[in-house]
Amino acid sequence: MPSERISRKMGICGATLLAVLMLVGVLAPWISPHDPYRGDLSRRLEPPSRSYPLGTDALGRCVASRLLHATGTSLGAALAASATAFLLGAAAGISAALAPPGLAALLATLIDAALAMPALLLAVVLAGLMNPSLSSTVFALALVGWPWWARWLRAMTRQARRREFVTAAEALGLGGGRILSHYLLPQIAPAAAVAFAVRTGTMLVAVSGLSYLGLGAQPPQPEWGRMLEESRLYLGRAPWLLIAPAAAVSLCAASCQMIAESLRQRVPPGGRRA
Amino acid sequence: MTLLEVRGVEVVDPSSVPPRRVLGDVSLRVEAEQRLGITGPSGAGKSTLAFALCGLLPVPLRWRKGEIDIRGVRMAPGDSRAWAAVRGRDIFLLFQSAATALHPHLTVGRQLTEALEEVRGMSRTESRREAQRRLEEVGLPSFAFSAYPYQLSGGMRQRVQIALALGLGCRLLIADEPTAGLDPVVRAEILSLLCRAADDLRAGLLLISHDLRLLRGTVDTLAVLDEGHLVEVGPPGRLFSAPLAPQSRRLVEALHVLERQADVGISP
Repeated sequence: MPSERISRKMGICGATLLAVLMLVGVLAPWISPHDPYRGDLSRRLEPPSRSYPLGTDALGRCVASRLLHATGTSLGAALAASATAFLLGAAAGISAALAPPGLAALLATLIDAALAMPALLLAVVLAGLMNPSLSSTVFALALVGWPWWARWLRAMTRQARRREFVTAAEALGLGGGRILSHYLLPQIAPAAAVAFAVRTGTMLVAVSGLSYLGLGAQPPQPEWGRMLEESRLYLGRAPWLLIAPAAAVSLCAASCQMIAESLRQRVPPGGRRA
Repeated sequence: MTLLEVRGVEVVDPSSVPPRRVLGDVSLRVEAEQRLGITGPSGAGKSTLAFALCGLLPVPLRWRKGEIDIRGVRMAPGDSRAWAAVRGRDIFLLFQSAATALHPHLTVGRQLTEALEEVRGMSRTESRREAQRRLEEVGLPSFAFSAYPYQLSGGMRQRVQIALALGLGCRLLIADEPTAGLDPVVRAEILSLLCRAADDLRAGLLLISHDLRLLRGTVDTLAVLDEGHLVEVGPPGRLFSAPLAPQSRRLVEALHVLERQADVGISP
């Protein structure tokens, strides 16, 4: 386990990296050297050069420009899928923890049933059933991602509710809304931030995976998984086609993990520090 | 006026095999301005009774039988809305450990003002003024308003709970071992403050403690709880001089032994 100092540095490093990647995603149209959609067939599969820093692909398009444009697409899709799964899971999980016994048991059974299905396989099926597109990938991943959040948040809420100061707040006659927002959520939020960072990293890999299978972003839209798939046929001749998007996915997933690890070190298991 | 009437309440723990009765056939009544003491050995069900009277039984305990009337209103076990309507308004529960009963990340002032705003419907300014007044009334220094609970001593935190009871103006105070873990001087101060608060509010006081010496001079009726059953109820004077139930006799004898040891200087 890394020491607190190292983990703090790791967190700063991960957060900076992710912030830079997000900035790159937003600024892509202005900082890209070329149009990511326009190819020059006379310059197919060129190795990295001064005018094409990461070379060109099979259609003569600038790989660097496509990579920069794909940053926003991949990262945005991963964040959207992660946030939607979180919100759906929070609604179900927190309700399951606080509802009257009968309804709580029903919700818990539903969550367990949803969790029993193999997530990635189900995402492939769902994305396949819908029109293949980036939005259907996000939708499918959110749909298979919520049960994990629901079960985790249910457990966290139940644990938080058992603290005596929460019972004392109930004894004082405080309303359910205030108890949730002032007494329960602050106990859950730090650990939820750690879990969110981890899950977003996983979602990023899943978004790229589904795009690689052709279920996500469609040509000619630049997306990291899509770019990996396009590089498949030219691995021997043009390895830069693979290296660039693979490095981007790894870097982004790693920065999510670094943030999570650093947050985890700062959050004691029982909740916030006194 | 009857503030609390409990008839034949039974609480079970369904998770143990066979289901264990934590409280069995408990009946009691608290009138306005009455001070009822409940004592008994550890594990007798004293705290469970306190929680049951607020409709806050910890999981997995279940209220199986009996009736609880709070100021004439019949309370049903699962009716969370009815319980929420009486908590903090008619009935106040003072916890044994204020260290864990106060929100660790909110200042004392904020906890008081939020309760006053929500329960008594006061405005922000009114509740702030009322909170400051009540903290002062229970003898807390002015810095307590903006202090976090961990910055206060055990006695001060207990005073915060009493300030809450005063601010909310509850008619029935249930105090579950309010002086546990406090030194004798602070214990006496907290007890007299609690009694004064009950008098000011013209409230009934249900004082739960295993400390017979503390109860003797404080309550006007004493009930002995043993293994979930009320084995004896009566005026403390009679209960100390002529206990009827064997369980009460044991408690009183133990007290006499402690007092004799104190007389010869081998008190703990």
